[in-house]
Amino acid sequence: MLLPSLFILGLWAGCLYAIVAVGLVLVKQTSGFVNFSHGATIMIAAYGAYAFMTLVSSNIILGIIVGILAACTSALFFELIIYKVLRRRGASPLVLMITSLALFIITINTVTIIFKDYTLVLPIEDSKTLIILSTRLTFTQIYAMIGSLIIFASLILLSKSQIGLKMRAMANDIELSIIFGINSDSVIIYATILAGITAAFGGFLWATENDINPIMGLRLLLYGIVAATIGEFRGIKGVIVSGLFLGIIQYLGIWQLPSRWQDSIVLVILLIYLLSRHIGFLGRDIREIKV
Amino acid sequence: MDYFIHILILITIYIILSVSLDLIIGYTGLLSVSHAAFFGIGAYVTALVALNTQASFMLSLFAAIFIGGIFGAILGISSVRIRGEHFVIATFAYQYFIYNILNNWTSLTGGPLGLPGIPEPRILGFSINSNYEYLIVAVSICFVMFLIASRIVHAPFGRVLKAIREDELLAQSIGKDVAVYKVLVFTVSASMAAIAGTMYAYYMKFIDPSSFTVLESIFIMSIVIIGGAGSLWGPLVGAVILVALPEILRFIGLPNIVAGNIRQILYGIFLVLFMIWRPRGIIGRYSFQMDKYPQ
Repeated sequence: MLLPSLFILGLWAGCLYAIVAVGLVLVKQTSGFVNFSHGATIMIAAYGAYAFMTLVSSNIILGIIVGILAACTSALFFELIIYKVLRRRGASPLVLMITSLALFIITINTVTIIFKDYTLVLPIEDSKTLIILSTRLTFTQIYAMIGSLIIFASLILLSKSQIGLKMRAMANDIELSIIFGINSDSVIIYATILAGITAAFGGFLWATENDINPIMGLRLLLYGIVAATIGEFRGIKGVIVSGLFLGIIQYLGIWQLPSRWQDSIVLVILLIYLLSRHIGFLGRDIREIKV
Repeated sequence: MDYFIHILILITIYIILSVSLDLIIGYTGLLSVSHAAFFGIGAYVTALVALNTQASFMLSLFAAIFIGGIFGAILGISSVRIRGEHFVIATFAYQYFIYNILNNWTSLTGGPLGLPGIPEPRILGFSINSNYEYLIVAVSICFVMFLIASRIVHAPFGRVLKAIREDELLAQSIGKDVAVYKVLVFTVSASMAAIAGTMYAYYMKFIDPSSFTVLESIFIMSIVIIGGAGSLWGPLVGAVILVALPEILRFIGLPNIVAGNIRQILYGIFLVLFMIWRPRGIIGRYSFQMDKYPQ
């Protein structure tokens, strides 16, 4: 394959990984743990959109909206019914992480029971394409990339707003933020909704190119976690850059290696990163000292 | 009766898996979701040895222990550099990576189709060819593993592990080489999981990568946590309950196709409930409560 087209496809993949990573960062900043049930949210959005588009109307816009509603509803459900209760009981981030794994498992299996094990495809009219730098992209993909860029821009703007400031304060020092009167619960709800929107969009982006199956959430979650880790979970800008970077590197890797190793490329990048001193993209190396 | 023996054999395999994982999660305090990878490595090494040579049971067992130990040591070495929640992510990635290799290196592992036709194990010249005989072997191995784990945790080695769990910096400051202990515990734990893999491969006579995914790792982790982390009997109780109980579901008459999924949903629900009300599990000693979230 030609290098420029690998670059374009890598950019597309990078948008996807960055979107998932951004959702993870939003939750990590406010709730303080890596939320594996984000993968569940992505799946619920994709399956919800699929159900709607096959049963009611195949309008893409409506499909995305249904996906977003499904994602936000489930994310809020997890947050208000489970994570909030755990936080009230003084749960550590480790406990929350374990719980998120459990919720992820429950979701994967529930979806498998309802939709069986078939791989499904979103019914999208995709005949029109555009050729950029000798790469054929469908209009849906182009709209999706533009949409994700809009989301990135709005999130960056948001981080400068008051609510964004509160989120960053909570990420920096949670105790102090509460002392200063930031209502951590409502900021977390806000972050959860935003994360749900990004999750739905990510699931939808994925579904335009691949099929929907019960373990799609796992792969996307993996990519998002890798992108977020390389971006040090430190900020929206950082993980967007690292997400795009990851996508491009992965596709450059496929230039030389058979494409079935694409996941391994991502994982090797992660392991190399973790083993070297982690300073992160656009971040600073701050070590916490607990007194 | 055959079905009963089948369940017992599975229980012994999962006891070994959960007790060995508890050494990492409950005693050293590191959350690892990569245990199914070591389980898989043990199974695949055994299968490849058994299919390609005339080796006896013990020989393939030792091969599995050796290779499993190496992969465990790799994770142990990285655990020294990678701390906190990043380590959980690293184990997640390691697990996925090994699964990827098992699934994609088709010339070695058969890829998604797996390795069929594993021959019967031979111990001291005797061929094990009935489930009943295999049960005796399985229970013996499980008993020995449990004894080994017991010796480990009651020795000074186990006390240092607990010290690492409680306050790593303090353990280091009084002169314990934390790095060595971490590498050792991962090596031993992975080797034990590989032994379970050997048992699994010889029993099932056919293995494929789908038995060794992240989901399986999370299941083993659930056994440890629900049964109780930080004690030896906790994982044992957890294994018995979580392996045997869902089989009872079959007798209620659930259609076979969804039985597996309902089982996993139940594990997940139990895990969530335990995390909310009793993080130390049924008979555990470690309850993960550090760095409490401020109110």
